Amino acid sequence: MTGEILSVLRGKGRGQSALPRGVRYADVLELYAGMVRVRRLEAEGQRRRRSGEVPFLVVGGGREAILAGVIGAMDAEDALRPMHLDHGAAILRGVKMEEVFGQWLGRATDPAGGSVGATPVSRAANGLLGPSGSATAHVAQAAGQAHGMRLRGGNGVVVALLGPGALDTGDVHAGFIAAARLVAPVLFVVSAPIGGSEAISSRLRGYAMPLVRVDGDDIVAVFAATRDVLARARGGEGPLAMIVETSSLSSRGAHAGGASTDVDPLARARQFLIARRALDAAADHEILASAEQEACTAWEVAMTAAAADPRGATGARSEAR
Amino acid sequence: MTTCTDAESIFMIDAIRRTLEQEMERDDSIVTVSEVSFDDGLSGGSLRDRFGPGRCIELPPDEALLAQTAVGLAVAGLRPVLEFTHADFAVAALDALVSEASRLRHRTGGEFACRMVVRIPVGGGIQGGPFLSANLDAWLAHVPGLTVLTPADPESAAELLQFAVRQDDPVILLEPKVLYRGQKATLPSSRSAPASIGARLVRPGEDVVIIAWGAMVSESLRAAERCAADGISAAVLDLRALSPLDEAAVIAEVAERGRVVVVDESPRFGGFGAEVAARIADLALLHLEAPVARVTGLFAPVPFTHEDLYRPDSRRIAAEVERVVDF
Repeated sequence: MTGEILSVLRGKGRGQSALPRGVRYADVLELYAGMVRVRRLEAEGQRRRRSGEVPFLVVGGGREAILAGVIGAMDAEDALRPMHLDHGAAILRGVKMEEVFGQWLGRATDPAGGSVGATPVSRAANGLLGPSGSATAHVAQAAGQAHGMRLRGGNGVVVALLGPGALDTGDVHAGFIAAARLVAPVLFVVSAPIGGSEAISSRLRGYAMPLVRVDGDDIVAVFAATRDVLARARGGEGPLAMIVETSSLSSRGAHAGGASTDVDPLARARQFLIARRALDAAADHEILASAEQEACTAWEVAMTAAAADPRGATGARSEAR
Repeated sequence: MTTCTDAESIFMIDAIRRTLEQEMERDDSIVTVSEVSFDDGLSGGSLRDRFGPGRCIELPPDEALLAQTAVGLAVAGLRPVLEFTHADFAVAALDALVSEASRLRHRTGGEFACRMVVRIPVGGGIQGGPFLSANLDAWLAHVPGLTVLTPADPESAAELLQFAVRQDDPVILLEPKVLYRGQKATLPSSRSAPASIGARLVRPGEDVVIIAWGAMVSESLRAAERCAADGISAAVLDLRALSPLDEAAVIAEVAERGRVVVVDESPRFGGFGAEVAARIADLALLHLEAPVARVTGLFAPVPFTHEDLYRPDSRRIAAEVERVVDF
């Protein structure tokens, strides 16, 4: 059994439970600010995709607590393998928003040099490798990467984000087995719809991976749980799985627009902080305004930058063939 | 450059094993990835005993899994040497090789590189039938980002592997199965690594040049012997590198003789031999005194029986050489 779903911001986000040990209000405030930035970046993406300015862009929505909580608990030596829709992961790992927009647009601020388009950004120094064409290839890769990091003497963990549909594929099945055989320090973060984590747990138990279930709309719960399972992975337990129930996989989620505060992770975090007097209206306004300015400036920088260097986009080696 | 010490006569399979062992000794970032219980393979046997399961990784027999795991190891900064059992099964790993390994540097703007060697046993001549005899030369040479090499003798096998494990992007080694325990060659017990890999003229000749690679080189050499008996002096050029193709060597040898036969074990249609022929047409047309001839496999799955009718052999090659010379 995987026990109860870990949730801190229960009910309507009034914060009935105490903060987990070692988690401070300042931490939650910082995580909240990260969630706001992700929300703002994704809003820009949705708007620009609809206008046709950015082709082939798939953005998340309502996954802010998962991204901010998981990434907030990771160390610099850990590596992240985000899903296709997790563009916000990059800015939480230290990539500039103008670089993300630059990659969407193929401008000079594009870290990939105009080669790849609207997939999540990759940067070695930030421990960040975005996905490729396959939605599930990164599971086995994560196992190999984690084993490789350990062989090289590191103590990092690879965190791979997955959707529930991925579990129906052979690639993921094989990747879980590889991770188990290698006793690789990998954390698989599997999203589940609200109420769906137990069904997924029952499937994952077959891989003998330690499991935790977490309220994925609850920034504090995600952060605290990730911190704990990362420590276990670092300690040599091998691969672990964290199942995050998220309203982003339901029709009422924040991604669908008009989400209520009981399911919108951002609203829940805000209410919690305000109820605990860790945030007031003025400070909240400042956080929102900062994200707004960051996004507007970043878009302007990316849009006015030159087109990406064609040598980067076409590849230097192509000239020789 | 080759530094010879303590020469020893060995098969190609032993040359590969010895070279891999030496390279793993030299560079502890080199790891192997292979199927569990692949008794005929190199990685799971003596290498595993010597370097341990951490560096000689065995996984379930799922080629896609092996390849994706190897990509992950490369992402972590290691140099995996991935060993498949047969080219036919490697088809299942094409997503990892094409979508992942070949594009990793490109799609990440050089942030990540896939320093990975993929050893693929290829080709017929072993009565492997339709599931154990495939060639993937044209398939893989067509993929930007992959370097594709193929040895025709033990010395090249050692040299190409040495070269491959020093590259910063993925290298495919197409190893002809029929040659693993074919001819022995005398090799030095150690050598310095080559800085580049180009084509090699393995037999001089004045009238015509036969261009071949992999297992077809030895067939071409036998064909040249046959032709010599009829008074035809045929040179043989072993390409060794399919991508990048040593275009300068190809054009120089063709220009010198004006007559060329391209030998390709795979089916003619869309084969790598077609690329060689097209390059010659592009760059050496005015030197030609006869049309570019091709001797190829049939456009059919490799059969279990009558494999000799499917694969080019010295008799068919010699006949085509004579036709070209008489043109």
